[in-house]
Amino acid sequence: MNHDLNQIKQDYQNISVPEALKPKVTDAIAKAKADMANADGGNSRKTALPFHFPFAKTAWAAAAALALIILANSSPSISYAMEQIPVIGAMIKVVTFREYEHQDNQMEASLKIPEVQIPQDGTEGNEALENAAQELNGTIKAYTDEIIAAYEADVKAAGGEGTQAVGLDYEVVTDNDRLFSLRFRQTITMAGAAQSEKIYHIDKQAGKMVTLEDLFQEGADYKTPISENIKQQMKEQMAQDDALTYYVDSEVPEWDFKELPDQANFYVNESGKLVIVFDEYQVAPGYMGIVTFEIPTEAVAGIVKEGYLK
Amino acid sequence: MTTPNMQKMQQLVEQELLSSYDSLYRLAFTYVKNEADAMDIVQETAYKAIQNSASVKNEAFIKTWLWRIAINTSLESLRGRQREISYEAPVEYGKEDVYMDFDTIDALDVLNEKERAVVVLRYFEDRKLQEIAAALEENLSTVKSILYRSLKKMKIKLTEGELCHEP
Repeated sequence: MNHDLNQIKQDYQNISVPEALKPKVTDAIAKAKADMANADGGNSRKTALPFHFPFAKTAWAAAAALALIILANSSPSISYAMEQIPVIGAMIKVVTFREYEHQDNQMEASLKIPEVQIPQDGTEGNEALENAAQELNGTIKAYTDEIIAAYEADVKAAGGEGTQAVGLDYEVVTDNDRLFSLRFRQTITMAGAAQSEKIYHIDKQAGKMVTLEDLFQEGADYKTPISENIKQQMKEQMAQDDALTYYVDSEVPEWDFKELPDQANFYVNESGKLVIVFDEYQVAPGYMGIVTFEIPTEAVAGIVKEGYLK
Repeated sequence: MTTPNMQKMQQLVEQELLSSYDSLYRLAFTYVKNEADAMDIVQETAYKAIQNSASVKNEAFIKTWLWRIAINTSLESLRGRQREISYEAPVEYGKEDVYMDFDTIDALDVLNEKERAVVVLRYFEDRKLQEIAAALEENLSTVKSILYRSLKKMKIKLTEGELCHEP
């Protein structure tokens, strides 16, 4: 196997340096100085190596999360595509309405932006559903415009020096008699990679977009039982497997998961169970990725509206 | 006791660390091949360098001295990893880290520790053969022959001119 030296060099230069490294270096410098000062002058070299900073892991996760708000160079080209995607579900279909592709040096974006449509072929026109579809399309546009704007700003800011890859893909995660849910998966790769998801839902029967709150009776406290159930699951999983870490009862209480956010991501899985989705870093260190918890329907029995969950 | 001269050297080492920590990171990365270890190595390099900055006699050598520390720390880390292997079973997480395609960097794997340092510093960091010789505590002709040998191992063909060309 022959390799081109220039190719290797390029890959070498592409090794991206984590944002978190600089603070680590300054910490190490400060610590080295402090240790020398504490060592009564002469005995400075006695300090044992290797050393570890407390909470290094947590700090890294924080830094990595922050590292996402940065970067990169020329004007991206937008390609509009009316690519037809197979019809999903009976009543609502999804097509890739537009693709946004851009590449320049180490900056790269690839977004698939869908549109939902209500087929008009013969079936009785459902005006409410049509409106919900329009509303969802508007939401999708706002969401994806935001991602593109952030990326373009990064491209500009980095002036050709940036390294970033943004990807967005979608899938229909739920399509049953009642709910149609479209999941977006966004990946930003810089020093590390961060994934986040957004899931939008249409209640087919009511013909409107719904959020988690709408699955429950008005005024019902759904957050507490779900949050408690999640904490329970976190603890059980961590007790069973050392490799898992969630922010629960941790050394850094302010990082701990306390309660579901208002706009919690969720979907209803094939067995009709509610699944709560957390983005990377939200409730666990970055290496855990996107984490999901299936909520037993019994946990919300009595407050969930008829027809959503089984 | 710290003398003004030692303090000055420490300051220079600190400046050099802050301006070249990214090169040190890449160099470490070619050895350990993962972000977390490479970061630890740079961190440890910084710590060692500040603590021992008094041992640098000539400020012109700070850079090469830092490389040497980084290379040695990388090797320590690799050896430590071999020792740890028995009780640190690989853990499977839900999500894989996203790595770039390092197929070509893996081409460096055919090289031994010293050869790798020479290739990285000469071709990727564009350092002079003299500097590399200083960093590795070898003489110039040895470094040249290491370079020849390395490229041969990697099956990379260059013309004579390319090899000895100095930036």
